[in-house]
Amino acid sequence: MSISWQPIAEIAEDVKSGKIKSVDLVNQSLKAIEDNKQFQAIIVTLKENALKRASEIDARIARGEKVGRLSGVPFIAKDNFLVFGADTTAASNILKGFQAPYQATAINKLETEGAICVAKANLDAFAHGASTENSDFFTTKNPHDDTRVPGGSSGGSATSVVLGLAPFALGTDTGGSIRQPASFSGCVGYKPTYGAVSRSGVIAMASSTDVIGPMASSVKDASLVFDVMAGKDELDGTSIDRSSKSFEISDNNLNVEGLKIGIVKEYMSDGLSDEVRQVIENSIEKLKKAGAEISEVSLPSVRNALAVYYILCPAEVSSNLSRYDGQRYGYSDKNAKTLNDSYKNSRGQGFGKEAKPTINRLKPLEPRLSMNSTTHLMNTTSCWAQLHRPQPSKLVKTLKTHYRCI
Amino acid sequence: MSKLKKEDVLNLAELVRLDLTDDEVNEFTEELSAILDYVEQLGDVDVSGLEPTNQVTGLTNVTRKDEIKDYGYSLEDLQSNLPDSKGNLIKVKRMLN
Repeated sequence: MSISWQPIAEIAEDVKSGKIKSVDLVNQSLKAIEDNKQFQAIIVTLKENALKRASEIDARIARGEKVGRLSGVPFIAKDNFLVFGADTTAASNILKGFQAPYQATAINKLETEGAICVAKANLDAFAHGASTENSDFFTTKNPHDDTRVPGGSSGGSATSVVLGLAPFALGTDTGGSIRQPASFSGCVGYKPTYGAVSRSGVIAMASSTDVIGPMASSVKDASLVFDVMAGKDELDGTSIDRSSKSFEISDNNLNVEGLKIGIVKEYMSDGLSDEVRQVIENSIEKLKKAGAEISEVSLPSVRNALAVYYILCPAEVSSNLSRYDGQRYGYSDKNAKTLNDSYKNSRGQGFGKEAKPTINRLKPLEPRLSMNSTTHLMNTTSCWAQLHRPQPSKLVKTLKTHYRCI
Repeated sequence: MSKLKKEDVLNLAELVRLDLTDDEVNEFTEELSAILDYVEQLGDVDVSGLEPTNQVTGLTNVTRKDEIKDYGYSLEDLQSNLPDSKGNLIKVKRMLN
């Protein structure tokens, strides 16, 4: 029972002109969430806060005040974004009951433009995983086939967008966590350049590669949301100054004529399923017809990408997870007698299966690449969304679902 | 295969102060060994002449003035998640047994 939304810019225009009420949009979104509960995409709704904010926006419009570019537009945030009004858990038991004392910069920017966060989406706990089955709470279903995974870690966000629970959702991506669920579930997922969007207030996984991006029904919608979120933030030293550049895509700049697109031959060879190959080849044909110049390029080092990832990522994850020690927030074992036992027990009981083995690991290495094209086209994953458990062993699963994104 | 022994995993768990069940120790011994085997392929990559990449933003020495700034956070809100506290302090268990 999915619902489809107008393009985001049109929704905002209709709210501004008084044609539709923001409160009605929020209620529509909350109803869609209720009607699609069986997909288990949502951890919690922010009903009270969302309706309050919506009424405020409607009142401001009634008074003739100026409102933002996303006025009254509901959205869903992955539950690793700090948002007021409900627990922020990152789908982990150890953060059950954690109330954000401040909000993520990305959320503040969206709210400044009038967007309204209506719910928090499920994820693999702390964003570790590629199927949303590693949530400590429950497993999200693929919106097209409930026997299959939605991908992950932003699986709740992807399923939400496809089911139309809100016009857009937020995801985070470290090694494919926006791109892969967007691919498995069938929505637009944009993983921006590192530093484009402030990471302040987003629960860290691997700090030197974590990025924040939009998940939406169209490229235009995604570009609008990204345009609102992007830019330098004094609370994140790695965020990049965007100058006055607009990232919003309109019909005028959707033209691909003359665009040089490189097809990475390594991605088109080993381990690629026939179905995915067919989809990519069809896309290449469409781009050719639209005037793009297609050529083959080689990135010989991609074969080592996952191995590099498996060193860099756990090293960063382990340092980021060390803060969950049961002393300042989150789950704390009350029975421990000493500080050391309190650390061990709080983590031992609070962390799930995916978090524990990543607590300890090694050092960096990254080969350089040279390229001859403006942009590249490649498959996001090598196969379609796989069935829910029973699954192959974790490393095999990761190889299959992850490696195109890295 | 299986370069790591159970004792290695237990030792790592102790170093990072993480309590593991027996089943988890067995599972992670196998899994961490498989990952170590897998990443060993990087030993064959020729990286001579390549400059290391430390970051991709091109930003260096991002600093700010060392001054107190009011972000509007209340002490009460910031302390609301503390499992245990005394006044404005975080209360933890004793360090020595």
